[in-house]
Amino acid sequence: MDKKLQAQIVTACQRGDPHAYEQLIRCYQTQVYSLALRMLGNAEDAADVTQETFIRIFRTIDSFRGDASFSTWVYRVTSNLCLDWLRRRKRQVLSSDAPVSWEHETAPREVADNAPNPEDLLAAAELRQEIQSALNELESYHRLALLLRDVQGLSYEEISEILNLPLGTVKSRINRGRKQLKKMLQQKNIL
Amino acid sequence: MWELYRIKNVKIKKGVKSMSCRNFQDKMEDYIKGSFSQHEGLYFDEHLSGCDKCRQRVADLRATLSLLQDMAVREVPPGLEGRIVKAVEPVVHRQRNQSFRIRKLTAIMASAVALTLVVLAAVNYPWGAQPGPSTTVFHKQPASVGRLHPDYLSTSNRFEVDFYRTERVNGLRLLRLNIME
Ligand SMILES: [Zn+2]
Repeated sequence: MDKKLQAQIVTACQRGDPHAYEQLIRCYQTQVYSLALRMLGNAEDAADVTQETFIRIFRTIDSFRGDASFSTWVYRVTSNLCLDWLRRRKRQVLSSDAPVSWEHETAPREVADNAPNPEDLLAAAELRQEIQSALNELESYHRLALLLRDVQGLSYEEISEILNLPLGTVKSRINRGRKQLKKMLQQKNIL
Repeated sequence: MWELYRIKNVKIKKGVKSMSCRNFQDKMEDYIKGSFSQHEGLYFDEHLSGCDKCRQRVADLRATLSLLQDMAVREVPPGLEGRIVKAVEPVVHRQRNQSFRIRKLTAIMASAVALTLVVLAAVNYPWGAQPGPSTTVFHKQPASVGRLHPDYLSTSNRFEVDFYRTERVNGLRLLRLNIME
């Protein structure tokens, strides 16, 4: 998104402009939800964390000083809340042994020309579910770094800023994540 | 680090130090994404032509990255946006009220300060005759909104606790005041 427009929306939110809040949600909800979904592995938790993220953002938006990009800041809040959520869920699962419901993938929307047939859509959804279950097996810190790089498409520098980690650590987490994922995908005969 | 300067006339000279597998793996992502120089490309090709393992690594990483790219979500599920808007409403509302209260209180305090200054000047108090920093700044401010550096506030007018955090410009903590006429 245009940096200038981005800054304008943020400033408007800081001033308390009621329309700016909805605009800001619209601008960043996909980025937040996408990371949360792949981090947590199911749609329900991802929606909860997305909501939590925006509450946190608006509660602290006055403390945002334009020196970093707002998108980086949003990613940082999302990342922290995802990690918190996973820690909490781990405790819950350990204590209650409650089953975790995994994401129910929906097929992507059809494109008008050369629309894929239903079998292809189903196969694609199944494949994504398989990949997600491989991602779920990764250590959460490795998964987070890998998702920021290979799914969200951020640069190593941006990730280092989001996670507040040296570049070397970021690279090694991503490499480890990729190696581990490759192993999982090979086990599932996807690679 | 491997070296590039031994290449001459785009041909690898005999005895050139070839890339190790480790060096290649460090650069593998650049190779796959095509972000490398012509010289680097020569080293990559030279290594790959003699290393089955790295060729397999390239194929695996390329496939993994392409699978991951498809994992990005292009849109949120229906209904989520409305749910978020509703959930943040109380937070937004509270913040708006808070900032309104702050603005109101600031205005009251500013007018109190202004009144004090007027009184000081009227009784021809020494500070009034020879204004200290605080009075000087007040007189220089435009009528409606002005910025005051905390240093300019005299000890009798301390309201830093609530208001100093409202603005920071070039590392200076500034206080925005609504000065009443
Ligand atoms: Zn090799």
